[in-house]
Amino acid sequence: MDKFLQLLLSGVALGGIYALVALGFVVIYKASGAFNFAQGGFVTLGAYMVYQFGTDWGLPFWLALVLAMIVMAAVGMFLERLVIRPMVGKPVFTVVLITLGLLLIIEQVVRSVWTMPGLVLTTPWGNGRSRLGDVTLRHADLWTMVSAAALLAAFFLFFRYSRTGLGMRATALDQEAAAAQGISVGRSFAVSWAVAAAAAPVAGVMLVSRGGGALSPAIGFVALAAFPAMILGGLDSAGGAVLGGVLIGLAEIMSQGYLDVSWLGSNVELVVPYVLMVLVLLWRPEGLLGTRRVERV
Amino acid sequence: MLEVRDLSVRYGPALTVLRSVDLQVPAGAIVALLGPNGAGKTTLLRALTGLLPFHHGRVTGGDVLLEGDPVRRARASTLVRRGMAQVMEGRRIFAELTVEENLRAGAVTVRDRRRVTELTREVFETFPQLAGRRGDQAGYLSGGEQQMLAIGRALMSSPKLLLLDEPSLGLAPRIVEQIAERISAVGAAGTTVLLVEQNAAMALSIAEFAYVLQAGRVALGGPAAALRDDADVQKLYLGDG
Repeated sequence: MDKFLQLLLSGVALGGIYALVALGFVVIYKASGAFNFAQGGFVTLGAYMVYQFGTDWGLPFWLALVLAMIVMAAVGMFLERLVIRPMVGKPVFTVVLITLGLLLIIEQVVRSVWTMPGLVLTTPWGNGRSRLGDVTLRHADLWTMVSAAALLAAFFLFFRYSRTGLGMRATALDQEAAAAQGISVGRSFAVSWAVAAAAAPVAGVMLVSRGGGALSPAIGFVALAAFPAMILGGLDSAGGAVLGGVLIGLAEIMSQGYLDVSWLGSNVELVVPYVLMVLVLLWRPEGLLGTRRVERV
Repeated sequence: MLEVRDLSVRYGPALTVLRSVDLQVPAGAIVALLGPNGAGKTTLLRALTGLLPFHHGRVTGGDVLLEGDPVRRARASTLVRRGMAQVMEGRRIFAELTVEENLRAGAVTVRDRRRVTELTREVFETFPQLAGRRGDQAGYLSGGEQQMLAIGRALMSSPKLLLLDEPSLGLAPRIVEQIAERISAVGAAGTTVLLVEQNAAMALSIAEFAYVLQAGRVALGGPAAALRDDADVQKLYLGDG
């Protein structure tokens, strides 16, 4: 039982990170119908920025985090304007390839800016742990769950109640009809990139801190493990991103803890999310919470 | 209110859809724009409301004046802010948003939240059928209700000029009558209306002025009563003879 609780805690925390990354994908997918691979790069870049502002320049951690979110929002808007906006109306496949290019470029930029190997991101919680009965609570996990929950709540409130959020949902459904209401389609795109990019440093910090604080330009690729989370939940559903994230996180950790299939080789837990994804898609092609088109019969 | 001068519109490199169209919509009037399929009615509305870029179309000549100001190059969102709202062909409501969210989407140019609440209440008073379904996804409404929602959504920006593209399309005669009555009421309340219709009988019954568009040109224009009596219009659009 203790082992189960221990794994549950760890799985939900990992799921929270996946949910944050998946939400970044979903926000942009909903607005423009394009899958943004660069989100993984935003996570890497965001984590290094927090390192730069906080650990290196000595700003308080939370200030460094907020600063990184603001800078990343600007980076997101800039990239949207520079390489995505000119592609409006072009095949979505082309846009997706451009974002894949961005991912590789960002990773290279990170490598050339932060050349020192072995950089370690310091966080207020560090490697702290508390014991609750026989269960060990890693403070990094706790903070991950808290910040993921806070950010996800903010997302929901923004999309449900704000004018800009409503405008973005309308744009996602019908660009021309949205424009006819006076919604600026370009602005909706820009805001979706800003929002997705701003969430990235939080996911990055949590991902790095989970691994003990060691930074690596390859974190972005780890973030792509959020991929099955998003597809599982439904590409265009924010709620699905959260559900998918938590499910994948749990599946990964639980299979690591319980699944003993050594004949399949090691690291089976890394494959389990994809197996889960395939099974769910066979059952519900639009994902767990993805949109089935509303049509009157 | 609105003046169209010598307007020409082209899609892509070669397809000219409107040729030197002249048209006037006086403030406070209901003006009908009639014509067969493919005459360029929808294209004219796109040109007036800044939606041509969505269809790779562009204005190649002439001008559009809104309250005397040239707006030929204005963006759709700017035009809405200047008091122009439209009900698009095919209703184009946001099927996956609720009825109330659709209305709020029509009011994105309104900053004051209390004003939005007030406008929503007014729309529900005008279309009581919608009030009971405010929380439902709009895609599940009947065709007539969707059309009412599309009109209500356009009214949410308190427009000075309302443009409607075939609001009667695909609706039962009884519903068309209701819609016509609502449009008439909107006009009576002081909003200028440009009504594009294939249902000429309906349009001419509520309009003061009317134009007939044929193959991208204005073929006829004048007081609605005169067009009702015109032999050609009767033969072609009113089903007489």
